[in-house]
Amino acid sequence: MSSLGTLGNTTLLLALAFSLWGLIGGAVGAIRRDRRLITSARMAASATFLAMTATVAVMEIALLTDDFSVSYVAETSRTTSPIWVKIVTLWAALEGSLLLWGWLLSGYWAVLSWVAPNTPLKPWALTVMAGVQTFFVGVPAIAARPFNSVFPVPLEGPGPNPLLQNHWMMAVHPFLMYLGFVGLTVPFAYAIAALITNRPGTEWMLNTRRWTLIGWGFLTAAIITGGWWSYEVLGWGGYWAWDPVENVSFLPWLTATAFIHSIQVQERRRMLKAWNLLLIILTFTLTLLGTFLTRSGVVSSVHSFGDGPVGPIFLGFFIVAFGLSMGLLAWRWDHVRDRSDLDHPVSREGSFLAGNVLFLAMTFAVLLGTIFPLFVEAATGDKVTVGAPFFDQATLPLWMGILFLMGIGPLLPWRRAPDQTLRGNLLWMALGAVVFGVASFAFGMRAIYPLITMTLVGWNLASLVLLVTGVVVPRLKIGQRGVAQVLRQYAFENKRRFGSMVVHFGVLVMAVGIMGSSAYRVDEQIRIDIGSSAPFQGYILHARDKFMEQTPGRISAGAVVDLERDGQIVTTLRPRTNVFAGQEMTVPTPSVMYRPNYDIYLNVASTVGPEQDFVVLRAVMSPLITWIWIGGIIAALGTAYALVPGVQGARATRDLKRGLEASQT
Amino acid sequence: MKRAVFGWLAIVLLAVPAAAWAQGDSGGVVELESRVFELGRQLRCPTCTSESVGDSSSAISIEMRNEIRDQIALGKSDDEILAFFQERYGDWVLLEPPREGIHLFVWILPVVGVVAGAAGLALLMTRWLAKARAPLDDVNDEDLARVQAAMKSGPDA
Repeated sequence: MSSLGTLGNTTLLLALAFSLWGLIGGAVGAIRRDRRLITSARMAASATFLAMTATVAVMEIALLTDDFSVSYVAETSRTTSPIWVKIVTLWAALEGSLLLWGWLLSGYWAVLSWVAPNTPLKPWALTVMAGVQTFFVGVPAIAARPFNSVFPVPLEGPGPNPLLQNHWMMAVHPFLMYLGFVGLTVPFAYAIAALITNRPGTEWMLNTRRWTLIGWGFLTAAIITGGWWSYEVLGWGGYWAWDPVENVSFLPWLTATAFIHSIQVQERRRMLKAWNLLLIILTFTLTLLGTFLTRSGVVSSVHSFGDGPVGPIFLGFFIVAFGLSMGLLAWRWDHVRDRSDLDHPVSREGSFLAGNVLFLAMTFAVLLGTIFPLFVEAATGDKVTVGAPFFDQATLPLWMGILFLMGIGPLLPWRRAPDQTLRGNLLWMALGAVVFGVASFAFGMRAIYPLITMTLVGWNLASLVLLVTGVVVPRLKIGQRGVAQVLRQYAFENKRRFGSMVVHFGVLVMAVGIMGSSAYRVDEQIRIDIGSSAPFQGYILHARDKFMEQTPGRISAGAVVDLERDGQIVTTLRPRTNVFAGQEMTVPTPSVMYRPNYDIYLNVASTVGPEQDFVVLRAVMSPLITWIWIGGIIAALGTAYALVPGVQGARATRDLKRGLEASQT
Repeated sequence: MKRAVFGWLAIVLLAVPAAAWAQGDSGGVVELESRVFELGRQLRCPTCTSESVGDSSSAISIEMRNEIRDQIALGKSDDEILAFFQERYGDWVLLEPPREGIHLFVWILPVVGVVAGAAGLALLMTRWLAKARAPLDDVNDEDLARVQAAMKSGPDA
């Protein structure tokens, strides 16, 4: 019996016990309003976090010391792997990923238990967190056990999936993804607490505003970094293939994006109570459904690493969570129904509502396309495929609609648009749209979606300029200060608003990148003899040499290709294939020349053998693709800026405190 | 407003050359290879998990891309080439579900979803608009007393 395995099992069971206590004690305490019980259940959060931290630490020690008596280590690790690979092997397969998920969740739960304001919602919110936590500890503790003991102890393991250990993004992307999923559990917990305590006002969303933004920000960052990772390792020069795993990570993002917009309508106009509750319930349960779909093997994916027995368990939890949430919503229906009114459809709330419809329609289309093959197979027994061409056609019109609304929405005032200003603004935006559309056409763009995209980018840039001038110009008139100073002060005083403008600008940059790289990419398969050259898109590719490198645990074989333009060597690329010890799979490892206007992407189409005196390259020229990553960074910075505590946040907190004190007296 | 115009111009100057570049110099080879890729992206790689023939680096995908190239050289149309693979591997190989039979659902339902969403929103909006225009309900004494009490005690209470 392995000592680390025993230790890990013990701490995991402790975590399970603590989280169960958080659930049961919390629920009983909240029902009886028993302060001691509530406090005790609150402590369970910190205790669970400690136990989960210990569990993760034990697993890391087992991985780093190559303790193959622990089943997870024996199945996924290898002595020859570099240290960073051993560390991140924690989330290279299902059982370890669940540990990571449970650990991060316990971290959020613990932090929430420390910092959440003392509202009537808090005990219930913590109880819901405990319930989710119990599930995410229970699965690795009972069903997908990483600490089983292995006997006889193997001397060597296979190492993690080669696609994973081939790139350092492995250390970043999954972490961000779970931080996003787990972060969005907090507003869900508060939403359920709001339903249980029958306080469906804005309190629950004010309490969780930052958590929501943090969760959304991490999920967004995770999806974009995932795209970049695909670009760097999958070898075809793209970043998004509408693969089931990509789709199911995208679904909660869509509903969460709808959510962060529509809660503003409730904050300002007290509308959409039921709708917002529904959106956050959907967001949370879609993460469960997605995990079920991709971990159960019912839909196959290039990214599903290691299927386990947990598929049905996730399906069960999805059904229970969704059923209970919907039951609660139905129970409180009379209190959450909207009795509000709308002054004018052309208003901020009107545009947010329309945007909601588009986001939800896209959620529906993507979900349908992802699970449609299942339905058809169940109904007729036929195997069918729904792939990228379907998703492109189904989502592009909706994206165009969203871009359109993104331009007009922030310029519309709440309640009612004053006709004069609106007309002036629309005129400028139309001008921006026309300028961009005509310029794109003049430069030879003919395809319809790229043209519409560029037109809408013009529309949106005009809108952003109007938003900024709208606040800067009046302030300039009343004071002696310069433009930069005024802008800085505005940005400082309106962090959320300014942050959202930055995020929207990032979205535009990404839209341009997606447009260019998907509509105008050039893809060519080229065979070059070693020592000679071939032309590609204004470059001359010199296959200068081939190489073979061996490090412990890895063999790389590839070609050295000089890129020449106008008689000068611009850069040298080394596309290769890697083979990892213990794994049969050959992993293509492309080499990329990054440029702001286009990337040149080289991938060896087939392994360069020792006897071989030529190389077959897949050369891709991908216009503007870097803009996607830059846009992503801009959006991340904007989100972070909106999270900086500011005057606005302080004001909201103060108002909330006052409201609570008033309600308690 | 002039400032705004300059802002646009600056951005146009940045974005448009890139778009212009995108048109690039395109020879026959590039057009051929782009067509091969486009067709490949509509076919499922038979041996991979959920990758298209265009994306995949597997041996069979490379072979299928060569087949596409040969067929293009024979002067076949896109539809004919896709039909060739459909006949060989079945409907399953097409990443874009054909618009017939049971596949129609996947094409029609998203449209139904959008229309239903828009109709639902329109319905709600008309109802809310009507409500906003309707005269206020009679104020009862209790409400009035509450408002007056609130006003007397000031905003901070």
